[in-house]
Amino acid sequence: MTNTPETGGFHGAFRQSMSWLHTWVGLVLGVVLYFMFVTGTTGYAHYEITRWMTPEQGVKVDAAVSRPADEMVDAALALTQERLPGAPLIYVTLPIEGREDTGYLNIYAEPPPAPDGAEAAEPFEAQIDPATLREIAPTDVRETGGGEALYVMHYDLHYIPFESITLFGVSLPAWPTLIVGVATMFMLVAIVTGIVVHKKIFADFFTFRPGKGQRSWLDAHNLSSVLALPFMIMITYSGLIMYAYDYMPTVKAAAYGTGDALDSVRFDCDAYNYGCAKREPTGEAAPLAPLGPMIARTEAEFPNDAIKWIDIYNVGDRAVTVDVWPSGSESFGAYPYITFDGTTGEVIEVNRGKEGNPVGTTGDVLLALHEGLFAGPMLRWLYLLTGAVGAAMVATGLVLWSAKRRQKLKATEKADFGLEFVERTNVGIIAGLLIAVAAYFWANRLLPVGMEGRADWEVNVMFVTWAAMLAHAALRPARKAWVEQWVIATLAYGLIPILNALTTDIHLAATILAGDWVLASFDLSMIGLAVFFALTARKAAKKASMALWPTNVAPARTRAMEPAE
Amino acid sequence: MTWMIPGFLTLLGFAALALSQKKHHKAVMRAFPTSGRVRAWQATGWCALLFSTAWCIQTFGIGYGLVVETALLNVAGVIVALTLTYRYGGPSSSSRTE
Repeated sequence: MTNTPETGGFHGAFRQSMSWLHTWVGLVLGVVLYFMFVTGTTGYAHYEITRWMTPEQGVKVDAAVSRPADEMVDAALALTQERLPGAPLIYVTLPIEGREDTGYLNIYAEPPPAPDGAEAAEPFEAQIDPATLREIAPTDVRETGGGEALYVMHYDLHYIPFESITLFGVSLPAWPTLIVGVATMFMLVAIVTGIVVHKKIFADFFTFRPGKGQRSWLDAHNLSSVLALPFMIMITYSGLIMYAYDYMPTVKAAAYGTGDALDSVRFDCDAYNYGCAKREPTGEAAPLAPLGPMIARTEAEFPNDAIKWIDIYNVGDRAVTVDVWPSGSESFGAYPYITFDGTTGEVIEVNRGKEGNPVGTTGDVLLALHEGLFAGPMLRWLYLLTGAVGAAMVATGLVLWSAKRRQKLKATEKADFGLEFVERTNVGIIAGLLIAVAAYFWANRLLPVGMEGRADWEVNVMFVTWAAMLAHAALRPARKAWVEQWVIATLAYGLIPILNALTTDIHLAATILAGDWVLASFDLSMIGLAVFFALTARKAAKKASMALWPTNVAPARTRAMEPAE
Repeated sequence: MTWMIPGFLTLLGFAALALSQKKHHKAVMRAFPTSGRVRAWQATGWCALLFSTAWCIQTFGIGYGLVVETALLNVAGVIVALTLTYRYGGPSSSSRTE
């Protein structure tokens, strides 16, 4: 590796062209990738974030207050029957300890097909309190997008309409999926070209030389990408594979048909190992058998798991089937389930997930790796940290682009527009987005409860803040903008626990005393982030020779005068 | 314990591998390592990483275990690298005193 000539020869030219590709792909798609890493990483804590964003749920120590599963499901079915009679498709998610537990029982029901000409009813969605079996009214709990709205942004890009384009009868992916797909594809390109460009992967494995300008940024960029390389490859590749059928629609169309001719049951079963024993409705009415025995049967089959999901297809028809899913704690994403005949309660099929079809299982496992669905709290902390390292990799890469060009300038030379532009937008992108995420949490506490479209406004506040930060960065010299925005970030995160204490009763003292670590860890993480941003602000201030506090005026202080460690 | 042991082993492994590299050894130990030392640190490092992998697979099963091990490696690597900056013995700061 070391005797490869820097320039000239095949290797030099190859490396140079890879370097060019890496640099420009990174710069152009850096914003999208940074946004995806930051918002996507929050997804590993989306349950915790939602808990914090719905303070009305209060402090909780354990989930032992829930009623038995069959009582909860019966309550859900009764409520659905009352509010959306004749719903042919009902999904129920039970609140059980662990990931994706919203603390409530969740119902989603599809409306019956509308008679000709009439407009179809809205799907019915509701939440039920697992202890009282009462429906949660909008006035009970503030309307919020929660952790889900925050992480879903990393693939639906929020404002871009989720509409798909149809070309020659084949529907292409929706715009956000397309944009995210292009960014992800180029992320893979950036990973591979980055490995080629990086000359001393092993020699510089742990190397980080701070305080050396461009060299330090390169070290930080290398460090964050090399050490987290397995994660980077996994997250990018699995993210791409997740939408493979959307990105290559003709493959799906050729094998399963398209439009009305699409065999969705067979496709869902083959691709996602899901709804395999679903049947065609017969049109003949039949009542649903009690679900208690089906739940009991599933619990007996999977004794280590609690029941997590229940999907009922063709409700009210003779062809009704019930899929009962255990939490699948040992299944690594390829969840097992049992399909029952909904009229007799007899088992139609025991789907063991992992031992099902290899295509569906591969997809399920990749999806699970991406989302960390199987991960316990400890592993999710590691996911969070590694995701943050990923965001740092993109951020340092962006800064490196401008640091390199700034370093090359001679003392008398002025930076050109391109360099100034990138330097300034970098501040607004990198620090600005982090401030915007804090603003999302602030909005959750400060927007009036009961406000029209409250959940949407939380997100609007986030993006308005980001736009404001980009504007601020555009107007200020980059070095000063860095300091100012890191100070804003410190305050924005550091004050969240105080804001929380002032506006709710789930403040840090209450949550720690009650031992509710889900809520406490949110506030503590905010403090941790604030400390990190404060240190970053101090670093940036030193570099810009700015004093953070008026009392601390010592601009002439040099390194030599600092007390020794 | 389930997490402490592999966590500690990955940290130890990466720290030892870092010390097997001349520049980090110089920065921490104030002397270049002898070739015997290099081999000793390398052996320690790889053994620790192998043990932690084995521990994770044994404790969590092959699938979950490998994910846990990879995640630990990611984080341990960053910790070791940042710890090394505490005494980075570059040319400009080599005269720094304690």
